[in-house]
Amino acid sequence: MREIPKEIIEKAGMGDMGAFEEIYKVFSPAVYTIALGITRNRQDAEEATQDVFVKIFRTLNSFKFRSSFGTWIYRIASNAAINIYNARARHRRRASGIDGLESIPDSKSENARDAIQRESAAIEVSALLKVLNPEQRSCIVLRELQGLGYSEIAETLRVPVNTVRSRLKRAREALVAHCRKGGLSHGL
Amino acid sequence: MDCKKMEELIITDYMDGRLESAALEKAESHIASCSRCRKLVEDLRSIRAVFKGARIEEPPFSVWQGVREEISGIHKKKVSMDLAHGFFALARPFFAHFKPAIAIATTAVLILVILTAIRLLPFGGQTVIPIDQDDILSITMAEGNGNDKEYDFNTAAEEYFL
Repeated sequence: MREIPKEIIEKAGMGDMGAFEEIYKVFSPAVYTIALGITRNRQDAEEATQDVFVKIFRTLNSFKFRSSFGTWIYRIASNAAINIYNARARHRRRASGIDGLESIPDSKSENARDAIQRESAAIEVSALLKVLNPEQRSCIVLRELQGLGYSEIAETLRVPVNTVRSRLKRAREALVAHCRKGGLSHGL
Repeated sequence: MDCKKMEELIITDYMDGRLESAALEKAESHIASCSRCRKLVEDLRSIRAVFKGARIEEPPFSVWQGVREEISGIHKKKVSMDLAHGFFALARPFFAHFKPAIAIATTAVLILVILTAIRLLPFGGQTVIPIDQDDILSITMAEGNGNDKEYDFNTAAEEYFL
């Protein structure tokens, strides 16, 4: 998990925008990826990411360094994403992939083949995560996309390690069952 | 260890590298001899490969712009609240020291306002205009010069006084 010097955090806590921007640059990809994994919707993920960093700015002064800074941010990100996901639950579109990924990537802005591969991978991940409930999704995203260990996930989500283990077990059982039914494009 | 218990171990601790060396050796020995568990490991690794293929994505620039806009709104609110707090912090000792005098003065002002409001309130829908005693006398003592119209106020008051 990435970390950031304590001085930067303290400066940002006093309203230094330069320091806060540094925090944003370091953590926004992880926050966005977590949000995208849980909400499976780009617009919701963007909204969640914005909410997360506004909340971080508001509450940075109250961060007492009792846990790791990254854990604290990931916790806010998971909660924000789960809240938005639950709020949108009734209005979720029955899309097979992440909304907004079906459009053809702009070949002027990046290598088209790379963009297509990236989008395909994202669609596949989204299809897998669709099978899971939000709690299982957040565990899988933190484990598989962020590489967090069990105790880090437990600290982030504020649940016991055994709960993390149990959620990962159920999530992976569901994913294997889904893929054996033909849920993976390249098959198992 | 039977397959069911081994499955649970494979899905969690084995896949996530949490097994001690003795337990790891036991698990790998079982996997090598059990096609069902071997298949499970392959499937889990394929699924993991899908996640590995997905890159960490950066949010669009508009997200940072949105964050900055909301933060500048928070900043402005905080500055004006800080100014208000600063004012009250300076004024507090003054008010504390002169509390009784201020209370008396405030009460007096309130009483004055209420009395003024009462005097200006309409009475039964008609405005009462106080009539000076000299006016009443001049009205009643007026001599007729044949032209009563000079003193014809054409009002009920005239009849009342005359």
